[in-house]
Amino acid sequence: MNETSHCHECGAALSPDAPDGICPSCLMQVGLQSESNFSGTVVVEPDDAVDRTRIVSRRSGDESPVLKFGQILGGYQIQRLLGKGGMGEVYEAVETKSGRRLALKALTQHLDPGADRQRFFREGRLAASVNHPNSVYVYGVEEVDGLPIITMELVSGGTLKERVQEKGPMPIAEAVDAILQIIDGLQAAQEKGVLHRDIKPSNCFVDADGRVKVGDFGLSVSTLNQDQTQLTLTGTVVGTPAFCSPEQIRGDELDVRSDIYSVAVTLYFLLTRRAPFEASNVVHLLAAALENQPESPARHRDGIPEELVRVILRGLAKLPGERFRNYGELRQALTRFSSRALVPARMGMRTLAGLADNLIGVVFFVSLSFWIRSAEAGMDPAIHAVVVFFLPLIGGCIFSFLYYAIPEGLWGASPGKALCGLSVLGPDGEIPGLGRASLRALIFVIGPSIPHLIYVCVNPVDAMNREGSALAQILEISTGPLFLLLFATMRQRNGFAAVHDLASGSRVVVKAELNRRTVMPVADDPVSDAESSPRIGPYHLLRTLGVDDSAEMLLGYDLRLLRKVWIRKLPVGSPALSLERQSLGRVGRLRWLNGKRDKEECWDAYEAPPGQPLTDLIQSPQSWSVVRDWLMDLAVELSAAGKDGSLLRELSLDRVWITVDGRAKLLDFPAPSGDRDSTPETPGLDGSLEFLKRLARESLVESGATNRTSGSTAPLPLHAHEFLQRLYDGASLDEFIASLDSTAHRPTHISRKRRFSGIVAVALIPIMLLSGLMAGGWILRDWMNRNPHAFPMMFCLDEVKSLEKRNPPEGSEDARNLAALHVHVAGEFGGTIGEAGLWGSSVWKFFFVNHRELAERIVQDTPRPSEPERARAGNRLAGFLKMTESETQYVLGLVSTNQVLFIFVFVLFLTACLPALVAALVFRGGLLMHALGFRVVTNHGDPASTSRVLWRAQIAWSPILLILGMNAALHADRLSIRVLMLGGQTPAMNSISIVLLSVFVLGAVYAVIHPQRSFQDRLAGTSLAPK
Amino acid sequence: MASSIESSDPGAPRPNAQFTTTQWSVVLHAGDSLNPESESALAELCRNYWYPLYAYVRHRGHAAEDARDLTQAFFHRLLERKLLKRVKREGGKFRSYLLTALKHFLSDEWDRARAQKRGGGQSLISLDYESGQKRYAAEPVETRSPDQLYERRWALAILDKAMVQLRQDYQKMDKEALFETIQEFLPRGRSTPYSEIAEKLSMTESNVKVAVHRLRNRYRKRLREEVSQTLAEGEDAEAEIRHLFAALAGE
Repeated sequence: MNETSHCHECGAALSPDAPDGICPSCLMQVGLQSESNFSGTVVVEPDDAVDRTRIVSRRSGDESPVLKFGQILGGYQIQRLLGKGGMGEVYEAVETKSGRRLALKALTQHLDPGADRQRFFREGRLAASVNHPNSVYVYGVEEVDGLPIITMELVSGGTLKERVQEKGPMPIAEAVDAILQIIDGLQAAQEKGVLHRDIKPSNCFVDADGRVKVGDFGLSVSTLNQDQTQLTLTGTVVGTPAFCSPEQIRGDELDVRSDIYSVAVTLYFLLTRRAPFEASNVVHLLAAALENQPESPARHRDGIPEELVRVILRGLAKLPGERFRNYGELRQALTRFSSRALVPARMGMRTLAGLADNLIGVVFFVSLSFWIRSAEAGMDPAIHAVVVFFLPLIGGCIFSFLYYAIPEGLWGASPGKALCGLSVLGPDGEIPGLGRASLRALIFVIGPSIPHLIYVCVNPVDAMNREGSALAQILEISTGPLFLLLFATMRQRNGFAAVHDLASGSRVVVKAELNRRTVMPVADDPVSDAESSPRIGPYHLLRTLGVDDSAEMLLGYDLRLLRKVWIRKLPVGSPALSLERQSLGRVGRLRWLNGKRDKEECWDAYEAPPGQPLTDLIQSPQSWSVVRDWLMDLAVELSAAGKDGSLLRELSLDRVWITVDGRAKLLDFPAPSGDRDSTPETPGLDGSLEFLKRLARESLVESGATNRTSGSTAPLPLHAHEFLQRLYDGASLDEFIASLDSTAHRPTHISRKRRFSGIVAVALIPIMLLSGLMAGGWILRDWMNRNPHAFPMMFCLDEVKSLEKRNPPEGSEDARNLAALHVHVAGEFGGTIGEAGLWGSSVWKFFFVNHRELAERIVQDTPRPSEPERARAGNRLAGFLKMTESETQYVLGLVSTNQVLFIFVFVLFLTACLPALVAALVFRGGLLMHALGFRVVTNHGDPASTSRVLWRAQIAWSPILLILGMNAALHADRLSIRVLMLGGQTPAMNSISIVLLSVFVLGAVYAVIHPQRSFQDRLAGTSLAPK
Repeated sequence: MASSIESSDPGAPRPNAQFTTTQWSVVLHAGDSLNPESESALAELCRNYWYPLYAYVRHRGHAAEDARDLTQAFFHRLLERKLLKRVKREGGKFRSYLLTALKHFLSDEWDRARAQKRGGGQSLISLDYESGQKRYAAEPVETRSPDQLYERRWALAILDKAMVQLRQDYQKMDKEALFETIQEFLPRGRSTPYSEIAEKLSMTESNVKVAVHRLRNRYRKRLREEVSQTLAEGEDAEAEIRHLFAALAGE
């Protein structure tokens, strides 16, 4: 280099291309300075007093940043002060070697230099041990001219505190989403044995993609090594008072529940823009936090669901034992308020919920009409007509309105919806409140009946007349179609909103389970003796992982941060990585940590996240839920890389790393210790898609094929199957992501719970009918006890009829029997038959309508037989009468076990089996199955054909069909509904039926245990998959 | 007196310059359609910022002749809007857009372009490749990546452009001599005492201070204006300057 001048300001060498010989950096800096302020520093406004006050005192006075703009500090150039936290100041800085921008925290304030320096480095080490997308990443720690610094990832979007201060309290779902991410980050820290101890909104950073990251582990302690805690000055409280747990204020020993307290305060703040305890000075604040019960956040903000309030207050409990025990519990309590958990309910589930609600409604109406009937006697006819007509109409409307409005307004679900796991939510994800719920109910309940109601009001008399005008009937019938019209607006894009949803601004949602990523455990090999091993850069070499293309992969260890790194040793003269690559901090890629290019050595160091190569994992088939996450991670990464030019040179399966927490990362090089993938794709749109398709295929379909016989993998959900099929028609990467994202809430498998509820729902109608029949039987028995003659008389009359039909010749046995029966009927039942009102009674009518004429004839023909005549006839008919007696007893004993069994089988056949078979034929699956989102698929994942579905249904119902079939065969000679219903009375038949029914029940139990592949599926070669 | 000169200053940037539509947003708004306004805006942008691209191509290992053809062909395709469609999503900054487009072009468009007609044989934009080649040859040997160098050169191009504009402003005011003398005061550090300059220009020392203050203000405006031209509407010029500053910091 020839003689170069130097810049007067920054001292940097002036390159020949500097404009007009002026230092370009300094020139650019001119552009940065604001018009009035020439000091060159960005002034950061101080936080509000209470939040700022740390009880560990600082060296007071100087608030101006210690490091100046443009100042060179080791390998970094300071850009601006970002904020103050923990023990130091955080600056935005540029790594001069690479140009990478990062956050630099410097220990600028301390009480005790030695201890604070140790504490500061410990912070770096603790934070560096946490490598999670929701935790700020630490690049390294070092000491420059005696000043300890920590370099960290620069998170660009500000803090949650700024977010709330600028835009006000967050919508409920958004706040919960943020907290859930914080929980994820903190849990990752906790798993490394790190307590944060200073969680608050200003320590939660938001990156450009909206991801929330926990940062500033300035006060964190390791729970693994307790004596390190002593580094905290004894007797002092650390943390930010408004966010400190009571035990933290008292200086007690802390555990994860203290952090949980601070998380709850943070959530409180995000929702209400204030902390649960606020006071004008710290002493009052601490006293309040120790002694007062927190105010409900609902007092400062409307619409926070009551249950969420309870979650927050439980997190704020004074005693740690009363809080959530761990992050898992807290997450579980919060997920249902997350935006990701609120999936619009589809028509199927809403119909089921509606049916359930209606069932409850029917019970109400039946009791109402019973009440009216019991009250109608002795009523004035005019009033009676009004009561009978208007009471059900008006009462029904009011009942239905209140039935929906009150529970939905107060608790967010009508009983039927709650039963089906649906809820009604307002626009911000809150419980809708009585106003909104009333509007919903009004439209839903009254809306469709409005034309009819108007007619009734205008012409009450005509309306009351049952055979009213055609118009009245049309209007009454129109209620049905009008009701259906309410749902005509339901579209995917409006969240399946019906008219009443749209008008009231509410939505019906399913509380979907948030799919947690599946953890992929890997064995952690311990690091031994790193100190004595050779070094490369700042890292100690542990071992060689492999050699590929032109580079050597090494496993290194960072002794300062106690973590492993991957080092890629390149041939001398290799070009440096691009600035974009070096600065890349996306979850889908490895972070670049360090690198060197000179004549002696060329290497790059990357983070080494615990995990395993994809190629190892896909040796065995993976479930859709896992593969879906991978596809999503990689597609998002590929799309982002395509936009900022950080695409890889080639894509191949051996360049995918799956971390322990189930995330897929794209590697810039073949994964260490993985199998090689022989068919790499070139990047670019087609290559990316081809790559993703291949990944899906190889992890699911092809590996699944080997497993098909054992049937241990769950079948692909139908939507996944369709998604994968669609892939082959070509799409853009963004379409791919959108399409994949739309499946995020779809169930990936059929849970036992869901299968169980399906089976219960199938059995519900038969069971209800059976109960109805049993109740009817009970009423009948009661009636028979009150009318003991009725049944014996019916048997006799039946016998008379059948004998008369045969027309027996005079003197024959039959003729004598007939005569005896005449005498018996006339003698025993003459009085009963003569009763005037008897034949009018409804039960009488039902059973004896055909016998009246005969009975009256007999009484006429044989008036008042004498005692001896009756005795003779009785003797003659002894056998028959005995049988009559037992028949009567039999009817009376209608409720005996066997009979219940046969009635149940018959009812099951009528209400469930037959509809299921018909539905299998017409809709390729039962209606309930459709409503619950189940589909029958073949082993290839395609929807099964009609004949196969029918075959499957036949297998499932075969025990029921067999019982009925045997029954029918046994009684082929006198086949009737009654026989089928009451069954044969042979013990053999009974035991066979019991066995078959047990088989049926066992089949149902088996189906619940193996929801995807029940017994009938195994035989029919099908599986049940979610839609 | 001073204020009247300021206000009648024909070369000074319009006070609301940064709120007017920038060249890059004109191009972005035009989308795929051709219209003369966006056409000329894009051409103007290309004329100003061709050197970082050219140097990038050179740095990727192409010879001077090839690099010239490639750059020309790239601009040709850019103006034909074939590349614009492809990388339109980029939005945002002209700087990153150009580089991404160029990368795409170099990776998969180049073969096709060469097969066609080597950039169409005609130059759509006349660029001073002669000086470009000289400039490139004069650059120190670099150990940094092409991307880093591109960013650095881009920053320099912006600074250069702003400086040219500033000089023109002073020329229009017939104050070229003043400009040449106080130019070195643009960065905050100064090697020459104000008194010396004051003597040289026969001005009072405080007048020199005022002149320097104005110089800085004008330069800042020009610089921000230049940066803004390469950004879409509503984007933060401050952040871009910060980024370019960082790109330069890798000294």
